[in-house]
Amino acid sequence: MKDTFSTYHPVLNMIFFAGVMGVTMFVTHPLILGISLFSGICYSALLKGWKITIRNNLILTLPVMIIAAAMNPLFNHYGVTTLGYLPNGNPFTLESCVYGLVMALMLAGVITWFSCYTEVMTSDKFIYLFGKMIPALSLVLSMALRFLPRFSRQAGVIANGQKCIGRSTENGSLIKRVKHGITIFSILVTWALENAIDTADSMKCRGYGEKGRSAFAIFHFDKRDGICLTAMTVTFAGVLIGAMKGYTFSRYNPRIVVEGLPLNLKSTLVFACFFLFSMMPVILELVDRVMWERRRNQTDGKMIGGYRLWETF
Amino acid sequence: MKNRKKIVSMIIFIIAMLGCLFLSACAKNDGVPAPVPAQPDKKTSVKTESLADVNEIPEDGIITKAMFETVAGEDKKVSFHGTDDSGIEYTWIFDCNQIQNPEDQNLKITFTTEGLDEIKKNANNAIEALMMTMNGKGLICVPTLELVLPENWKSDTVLLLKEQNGKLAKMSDVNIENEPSTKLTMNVTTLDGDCYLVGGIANIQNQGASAANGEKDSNISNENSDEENDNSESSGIENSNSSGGSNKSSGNSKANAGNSQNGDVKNNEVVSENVTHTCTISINCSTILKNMDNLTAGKEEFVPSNGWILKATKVEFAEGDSVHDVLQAVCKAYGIHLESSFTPAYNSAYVEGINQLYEFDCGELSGWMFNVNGWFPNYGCSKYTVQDGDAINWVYTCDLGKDVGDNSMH
Repeated sequence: MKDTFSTYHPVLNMIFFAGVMGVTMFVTHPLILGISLFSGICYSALLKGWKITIRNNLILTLPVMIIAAAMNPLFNHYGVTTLGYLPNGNPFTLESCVYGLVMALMLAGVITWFSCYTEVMTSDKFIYLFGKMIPALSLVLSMALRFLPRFSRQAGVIANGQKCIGRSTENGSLIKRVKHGITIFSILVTWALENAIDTADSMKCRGYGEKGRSAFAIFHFDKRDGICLTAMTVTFAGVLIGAMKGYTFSRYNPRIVVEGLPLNLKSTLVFACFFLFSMMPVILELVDRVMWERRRNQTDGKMIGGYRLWETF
Repeated sequence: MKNRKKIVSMIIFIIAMLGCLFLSACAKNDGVPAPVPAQPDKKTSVKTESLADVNEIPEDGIITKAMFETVAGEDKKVSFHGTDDSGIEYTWIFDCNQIQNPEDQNLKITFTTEGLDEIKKNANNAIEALMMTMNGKGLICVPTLELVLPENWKSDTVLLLKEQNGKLAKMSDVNIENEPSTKLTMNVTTLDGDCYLVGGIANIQNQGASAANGEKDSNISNENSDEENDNSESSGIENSNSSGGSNKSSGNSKANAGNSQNGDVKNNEVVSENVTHTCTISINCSTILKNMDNLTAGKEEFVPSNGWILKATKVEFAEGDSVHDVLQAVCKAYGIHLESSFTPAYNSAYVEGINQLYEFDCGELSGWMFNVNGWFPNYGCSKYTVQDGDAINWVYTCDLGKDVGDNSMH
């Protein structure tokens, strides 16, 4: 199912993801990161459903978080609060533990937002945005981004084909299975190389990147895009000003300094701005659903030409 | 068929040879702990002759790395003899046992006897002075330098001084013998720049000193004047701890060191007198004080206003302990933060940060260095085995050692 924010203009999509990921990557304030992760999970649940989101988070994100949080105090020993000494004589400090946790939050946030990004920013949107400016790079990027999923899909196709002629990787002796695996891999690489040339040729034939060549796009910047862009600009400006004024400042080395906490009026405003900004797609989607319900109720029972309106959709 | 086998075996042989070459090259690289890329060794192909016990210093003054490699670690001493145009004969005595990491050494010294009135005046009106100019880099151990002068000196006390950061600081005490001709014996801890030998007669000198102190001339290092007031009044020249406070080989300097550190040792002493192995250790970051602008934000509170994180402290150590072991023990005992990591390339621990002050915190040439009795070893701190009475100084540099008296990397 397509969510509402995906149907907005690509510029808005891009600005949103750039903004939210930029803040997540460059601000180490725990509250900001918490908000970012929370809204990222909410959005990813809207896009992919709760089940898949929770499964992905447990399988992929949680181990990464645990590793990041555990590694940091083992390899970094700065900080004024020594909790104990490691066998090699280096101190084990509270500050590096806390920083490890913050890093874990940041990683989880970025991973979650990237998973949303790949859902929303399809390659047609990406090429629409950057095709004129950087035709070669945008094509390469959009190809690279779908490289892995495409490869794994093709690998499955090849494996199935090979299975039919008795070259399965699932039974037989270990050596045989490895041999068949190598065959499949070699076919995959050959296919990839050939496909790359095919793609390049085909793009060239169609005059990709040529002067005067236009690309079909159905994107229109309409009123709701304008309203949404204004809302995004206002909230993001709030975050930026707050960051400049130091409300989102934090430092863990050598002493933990976290500004803006406990909450006061101004810092609350900054965090609220970021919350609104990062929750924008979720809010839009929820508003849309409510509107839909309301409209549906208005048309309830009315028959036009033998159809009920909402079923013609 | 047979031919083919031959070719195959040939190929295998060649591959094996290449493999050996590659491995040996790797092994060699691992053994070079120099942070600057090692200069290509010119002598690898030519078999270097083992150094004799007594050698003449060549015209350019350079004794190569390969030559030192032939004697490094052996239980003997090699000496290098040279004569200056002014008739001064000098002999370097290297203790091969101390050499861990041979490098090229430029042992040539040029002596200047004229135009040293300024120096003499600054050194409490010394009666005799001699300037030695050397062009070498870091030393590979602490050699003894013996000078035989053509004219006899009247002095009975001689000091070896070195200019550091525009001030004169003591490098070591000099032993003077006047029979049959004046022979000066000293330990040298650096091979670069100008060093001054100044001599005077102790009693007269002291009388002059009290007069001179009234007007207090000041080219002479005042860095540690807080701790060393007594000392500076008597001799006029201070032990600069950053360039190596005390020197174990000479009785005189030991007394000086005792003097200078009295105040601190009393407060900090953690050992009883009858422990056999003791050394002094200090941690200083005064160079940051001059470069506060470069300091990473948030670290200001960890730079003490006088630069001393730990003033010279007498500590006990076990036989065979390295400088790193001593530092770790002291930091634990005094609750000073320390981070170090083992670096396989140097086969030694590398000290990354002390008291939250880390490498690169004050510019990209900053970090921790150590010297023992004034000498900056050219190998890691866990490879230096501490001897009884050593004075270990950990100093923070903001300029790859130059600002703390080590020019080996410049």
